[in-house]
Amino acid sequence: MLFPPPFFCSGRTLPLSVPRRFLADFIHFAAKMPLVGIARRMDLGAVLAARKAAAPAPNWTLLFAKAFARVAVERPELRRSYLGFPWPHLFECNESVASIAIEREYDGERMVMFAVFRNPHETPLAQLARELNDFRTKPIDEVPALLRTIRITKLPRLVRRALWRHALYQSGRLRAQNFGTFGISSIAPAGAVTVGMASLVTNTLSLGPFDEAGRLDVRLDFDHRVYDGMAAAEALQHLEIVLRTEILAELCDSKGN
Amino acid sequence: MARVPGHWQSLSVNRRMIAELMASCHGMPIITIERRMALADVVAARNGLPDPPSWVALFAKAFALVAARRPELRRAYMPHPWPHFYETEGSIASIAVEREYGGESAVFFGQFFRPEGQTLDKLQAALVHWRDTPVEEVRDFRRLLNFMRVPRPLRRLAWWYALKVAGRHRVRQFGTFGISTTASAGATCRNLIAPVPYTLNYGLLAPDGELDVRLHFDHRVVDGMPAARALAEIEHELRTTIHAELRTLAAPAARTGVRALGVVVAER
Repeated sequence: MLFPPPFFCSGRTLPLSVPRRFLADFIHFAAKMPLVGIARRMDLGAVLAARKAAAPAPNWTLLFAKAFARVAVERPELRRSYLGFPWPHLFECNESVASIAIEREYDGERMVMFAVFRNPHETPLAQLARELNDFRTKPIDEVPALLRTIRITKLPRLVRRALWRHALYQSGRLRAQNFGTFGISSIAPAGAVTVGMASLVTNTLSLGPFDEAGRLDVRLDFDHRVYDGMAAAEALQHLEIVLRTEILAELCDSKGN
Repeated sequence: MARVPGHWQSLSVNRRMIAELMASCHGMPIITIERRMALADVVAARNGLPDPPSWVALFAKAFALVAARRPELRRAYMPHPWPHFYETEGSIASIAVEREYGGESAVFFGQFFRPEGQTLDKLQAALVHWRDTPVEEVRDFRRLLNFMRVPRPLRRLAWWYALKVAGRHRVRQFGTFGISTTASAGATCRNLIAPVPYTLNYGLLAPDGELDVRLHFDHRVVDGMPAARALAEIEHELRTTIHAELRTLAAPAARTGVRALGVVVAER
């Protein structure tokens, strides 16, 4: 042997399961997104207290989804996505669609999937919580959005990659319907923070853990082709204001009811 | 999900420029390191001035002073015609400036030529010029706008040539390092995509005068440890040379007004 190795390892080849294949497709397309991350420390002590007092306490990702969609009403750049075909242009969605990463079990294996919520700022928190619960607990066969993900992932690679390409780069409408106009990821309950980000949407929020004073770091990863850093910083500022006013008021109202 | 309505929108000049910049920089292995700098003395000296220079000017000069003795901070990786470095004799800082153009917020880039040899006053005057003069009258901005009028295929060729082949053009167009900050809007950038091998950015000043400073660098040019040492040296320059220059500006002969001494810090 020309280059003898120091030792031999044995192993076996495994085909990619549906969950791994979906993630492989996701990462393949996410790697092409020029994402820039910007962070703001938000002081949400009052919201934290109001959420604790509410029964049942709504999920933080839903509160942020509602607040971000509310901010996007006044900031159209947060509803835009960059499309390269047939020539570079932007697609501006008239509505906001939130995409929240959830974990499901498929074929004995954990799988990351996405729950989509149309115009979350116009939907009451209780309804959003019900919908999220359905996405998390209902059998996959009974949730059309999740079932479609599985069906597409089972297609041959060439076909499914063509479908992904069409939805991501050619049709802004399909992109918003399937992937959302913004995403929210929170791994703070597992005691971790996001450092790198892979995403297919123009805006992705990641929430860090709260400190004792009720502050948390919120990070916005955005597609720099669509807007700039200062616009992102202002959006985060606006998001904090909405959380501390409108969302706080809704939490207090729900407690009163 | 039912049909979600929306509409097409053409790209503005600035969005087109940023989109092409992002496409050209795709694949650059940019690594970020961070250092917490203790800058209470600099903050106090700066706040003692009637018209304090921007932190951008302070950091640009400090970085260039360090780069003057560390050639790796003046190098850029050029992959064609074969992989090599292009090293300049002096530094050129590229500063991201937000301006209103064509009815929307846009980013332009102004350049400090060899900031290590310029006074803070002069650097600040350039920043004010970029901030206040109409966009079409600023030479650096006008050049960018003129470039964006070139047909797209030629433009893409020019981007490729400047970023991958001709080091001299790369340095002339994009600088040897960049500074981009959003701290004034209360947020900090965690990762950046830029056409320069080094980009500095910083967060919000803590009440005790500490500041988180990030250096985003091209890993093909330099490794983590030299980059970390460069950040330490930038802090040293800020606390010695830059601090001394701020004190000179604060001397009675240089004063034009009176301002109470105190530490002004951002809320965290």
